[in-house]
Amino acid sequence: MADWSKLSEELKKLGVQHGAEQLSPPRKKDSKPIESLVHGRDIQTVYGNVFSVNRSFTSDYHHGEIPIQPFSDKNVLCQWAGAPILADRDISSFVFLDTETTGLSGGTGTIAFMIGAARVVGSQLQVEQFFLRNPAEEKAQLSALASFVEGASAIVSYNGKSFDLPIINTRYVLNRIKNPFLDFEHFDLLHIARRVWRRRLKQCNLGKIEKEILGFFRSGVDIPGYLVPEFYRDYLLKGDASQIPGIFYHNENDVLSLLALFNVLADILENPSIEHLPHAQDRLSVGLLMEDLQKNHIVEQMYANDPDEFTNMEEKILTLMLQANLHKRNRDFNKAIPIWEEALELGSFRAGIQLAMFYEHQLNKISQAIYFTQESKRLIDSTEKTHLKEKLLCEINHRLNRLFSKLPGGKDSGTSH
Amino acid sequence: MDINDTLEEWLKESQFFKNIAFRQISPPREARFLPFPEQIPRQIQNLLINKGIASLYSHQAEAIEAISNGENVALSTGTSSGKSLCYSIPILSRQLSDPGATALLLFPTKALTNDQYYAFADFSKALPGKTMIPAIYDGDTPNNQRSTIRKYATILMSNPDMLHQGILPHHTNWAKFFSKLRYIVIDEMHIYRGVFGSHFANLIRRLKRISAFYDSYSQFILTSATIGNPEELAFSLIEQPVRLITEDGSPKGESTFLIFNPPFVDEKLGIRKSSIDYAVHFTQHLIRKNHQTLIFARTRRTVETLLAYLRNRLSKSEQDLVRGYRSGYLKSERREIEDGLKSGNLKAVFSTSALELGVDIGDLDAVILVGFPGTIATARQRMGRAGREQQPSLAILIVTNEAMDQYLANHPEYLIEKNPEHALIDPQYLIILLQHIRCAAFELPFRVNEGFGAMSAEDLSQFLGLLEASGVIVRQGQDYYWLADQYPAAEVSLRSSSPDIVSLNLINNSGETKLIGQVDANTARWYVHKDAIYLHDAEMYKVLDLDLEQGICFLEASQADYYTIPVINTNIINYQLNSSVNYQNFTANFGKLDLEISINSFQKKRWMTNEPLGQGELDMPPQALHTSGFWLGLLPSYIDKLREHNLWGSDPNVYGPNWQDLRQRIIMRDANICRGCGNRFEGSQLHVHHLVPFRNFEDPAIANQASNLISLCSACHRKAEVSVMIRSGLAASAYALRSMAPLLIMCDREDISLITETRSILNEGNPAILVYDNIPGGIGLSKKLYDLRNLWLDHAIEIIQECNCESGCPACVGPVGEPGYGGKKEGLALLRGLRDG
Repeated sequence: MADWSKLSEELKKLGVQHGAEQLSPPRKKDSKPIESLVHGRDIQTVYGNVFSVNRSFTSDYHHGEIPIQPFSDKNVLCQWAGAPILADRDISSFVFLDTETTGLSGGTGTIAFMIGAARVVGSQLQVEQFFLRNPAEEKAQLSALASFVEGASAIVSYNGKSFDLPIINTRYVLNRIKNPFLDFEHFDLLHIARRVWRRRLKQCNLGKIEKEILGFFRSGVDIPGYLVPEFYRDYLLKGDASQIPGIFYHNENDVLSLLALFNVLADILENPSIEHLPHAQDRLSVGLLMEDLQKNHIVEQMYANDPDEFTNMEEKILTLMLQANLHKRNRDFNKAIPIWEEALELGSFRAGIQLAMFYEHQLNKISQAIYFTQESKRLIDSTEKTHLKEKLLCEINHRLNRLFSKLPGGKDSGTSH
Repeated sequence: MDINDTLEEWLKESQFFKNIAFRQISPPREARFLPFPEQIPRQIQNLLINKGIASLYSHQAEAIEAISNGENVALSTGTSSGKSLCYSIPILSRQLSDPGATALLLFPTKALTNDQYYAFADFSKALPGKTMIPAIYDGDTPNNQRSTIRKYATILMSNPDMLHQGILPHHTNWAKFFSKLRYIVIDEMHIYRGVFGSHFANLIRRLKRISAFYDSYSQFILTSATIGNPEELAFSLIEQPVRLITEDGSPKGESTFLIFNPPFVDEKLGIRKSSIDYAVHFTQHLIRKNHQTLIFARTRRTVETLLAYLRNRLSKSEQDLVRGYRSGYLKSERREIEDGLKSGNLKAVFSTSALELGVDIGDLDAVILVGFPGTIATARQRMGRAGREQQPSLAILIVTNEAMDQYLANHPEYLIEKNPEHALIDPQYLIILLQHIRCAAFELPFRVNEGFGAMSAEDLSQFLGLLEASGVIVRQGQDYYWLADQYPAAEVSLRSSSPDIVSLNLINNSGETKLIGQVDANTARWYVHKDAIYLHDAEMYKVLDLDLEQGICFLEASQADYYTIPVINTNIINYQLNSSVNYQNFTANFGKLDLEISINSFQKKRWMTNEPLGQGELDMPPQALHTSGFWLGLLPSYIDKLREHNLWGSDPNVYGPNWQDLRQRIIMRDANICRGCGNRFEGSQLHVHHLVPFRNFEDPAIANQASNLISLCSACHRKAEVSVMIRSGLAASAYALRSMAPLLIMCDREDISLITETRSILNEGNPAILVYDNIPGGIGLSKKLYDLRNLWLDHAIEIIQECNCESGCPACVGPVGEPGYGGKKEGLALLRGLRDG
């Protein structure tokens, strides 16, 4: 080892805190090798060996309450992911992937020391966890992963678009190995889980989803994600592998939850019904999602909730507005008007604008239109000052001016069409 | 009416004429053209011709040819000499012959990036094919555009901070860009000096290292304002040889440069009329004559004062023709002012440095500098703002009564001929180096036999060993892998030498706090100590409390009519000599120092007049500073020699009509005992001595108060007088040396300190003058002064010699009444003795 004590001394003099307290303790003499703690094997690659743990699951296996065998089509889910071409593809084309890393900040200095990947092979689910006994095995790890995903065409992750995949891509570039994922479609289930459950669950981290949606509860072996980098550092620096089995457990269940969640979401999107979605909040969310996906025949059913099912005022109003909007689309104003009036009563300025538009354009009753516009303005005025508020006030003043000018005696009266 | 006619009118007034310290009329300079170098492809030549550029200025052609031949080039030519073409043509040419080739352009500020972007966008539009994609990548780039830019940009404009925190730590996202990187442009390289420059040089090491990973090796093109050592600076920044080009072939209209020295109010005391009043006066005239004028002031406060004074004198309709421009303004306001200058709607703009760095504001008739801006390079850049096109222009420097200003009034050659300023950096500066080695280790594992820039593998291995021992990196085989759960670049600010920061929190009337900025811990104790008046973005604050341990400072808005300066005491604990030269009268030494810096009080001074308003006490623990310094040790034989030649003797004072009576009374009070040695003497043998020198007082009655008088024997009296004289001679020399230091090294005023000691451990208990770097570890500033010591002494001697004051003033050895008495004569004698050996 190079002599750095003088340098350390010098730095201390300059006020740089590089104390001995930060120096890592020596390696434990009695530390056990990882091979004796976890049942795995060496995979040989052209770049040397990498340690990997492999587990198979038969098709009748359930993760929590959810079978790992797909139980519905995945047309709508694939459409949502922008990959309709994969709708008919066998589930073996999908790789379920999750990484454990040395840090959470990303960038080239963050290593994915464990990459868990799952694929259906034949009638079985194969989970493979490629683990770095030291960072020099990374080339072999990446090469083995590339072999494992060969022939697949989509990746399924949880927050992988902004975290796991950028790191994996970086690792391939740094090791100058061809990246197998470049042409893969990516299903980041975090995004769709948020759209479906955010109203009800508020937070949509994987742990919450496991408990609330999958009915899966982790055992005490599990290592919480935030401790993972620290325990891996302990392993590398002190030779302390005691926490590594917990990380394997954590990672394996992340991957299994991905698969279970994929099946649940495919089913919900394929067959949205009141039976599937007993919570009004979820139906509201799925309805909005279906509207985006232009599945209009389903939307009506999803929106047909009793507003009183919602305790949240924003959701209550939203439900009314969506229902009224469906009537408006069918030009059934007799049904829309009382709903808008109810929403206005509840404080929706948008309902006021809708009413104003109705009176102006459908009935040409300008003074009623002015009344409802002023009601809207009053509601906006009472909110906190934001950029959006300024914009809305600007629009509404514009509308008012236009309406006033249409009044008999208004400055442009008679020229309106 | 052009500006020369206006000037003619002014010159007819004797009040104006007699205060002109210097006047130079530069005749219009003819352009020197050269044909397009053959290396420029036809297509680009045609494009240039279509844009009305039929040939190139000589320096442009020279630069382009050198770049085409694979050389690194540093260009140091005038403010509007068309430097950007020197890099844009080679970049465009290369992209034609080598599709996909990329270039990285680093600008020190965001403002500069926009103008260059539009220039490139214009070019690439005119060239067929889609291979040339210019893009700006900085903090303002919207997130949704970033990934497209990473994938497709070929001409990337960014700044050092973005490269440091956003690009290099994510270089794999830029793999395509880096693998074809051919040119790296460093614009305004003179900005990269001191701490910032030392960071920047290490940033370039990291950039080169990452490029090498992608098998690309780039050429460097650097541009600079005129400084003393462009070649040396360029070499230190990129650690490769560069070809320096300084011959400016661009044309310039006739230009007049004036140094205006406001007349004396009191010549004996060296007090002059206010430079601000004259600036307002001149600006008002220039506006009335319809000449567009830019006025630079040194501080934001001065900008506001100038603006207020001038607006008071203008009619309502004229007031809108005048604006201020400084860093506190919103971006949109700034654009509005820039556009107002370009369109001619604005007639005068008062600005701080915010407007100097190449922000495109078009042609100006006149530029006024209110006070010397601190460096010659900056002064020249600012003056260069006048007369970009071929029409007469005027630049006026209104000097203040400070020493450097007055020196330049007497030595205008520095402003027009070769610039003696050296921009210094130290890439090996330990604290900065370590920070960048961490960043580099994060970006790419270090290999065992790898160096870092010019640093050998052996030297680097110590740093890697230290990082390994701290568990930050781990060695496996031949590589050191980053292991810490950290993103090191996020913790490193390129503008600070200190890793610790203090956050500035404003407390408003309702007790809410708001973060308004941060300063590094090193300077916090100077500027934001308790009760300090602190200027931030043109607003004035008073510090309520500073907690250095927590790194928090609380401030409140203030309307104080004074500013504060800390009184700094330096205690030399230990030193280690690195190099020393012996002369007959003194020794010149350079070495490492262990200092203890305490700030126990601060002075309040009134804005503008600098009139002292009192002191405040402070309770802060002393701070250890390990740094490097240069000291002059005066030999006892030299002191004796001065004493022998009575070079220190002061003129006899007229002590007042009843002096003899008073003298007798004091001797009686002291019972004929010498208060120095304690021996008893005959009354006639005793002298009566003023503790605080007589000439420090205006009123003899106060000087002669009994508490200021003691009885001394002749031997003790001589000693006492000599020590006062030496102290004042030293103080006088120190003041002059301190004032002249910026002429030789480009640094901020607080980057160096200068102290004198009559009994110094640096010089075996004999007098010494010490200058040291205020940055822990030292960054080469005092070293440069050590190397240039003769020049430095010459300059200090000159300012004293040439000053017309009686016994000291702000323009030479400091105002009368500063520690010691005037000391002009003594200081001069002392410095001459040092200069002659």
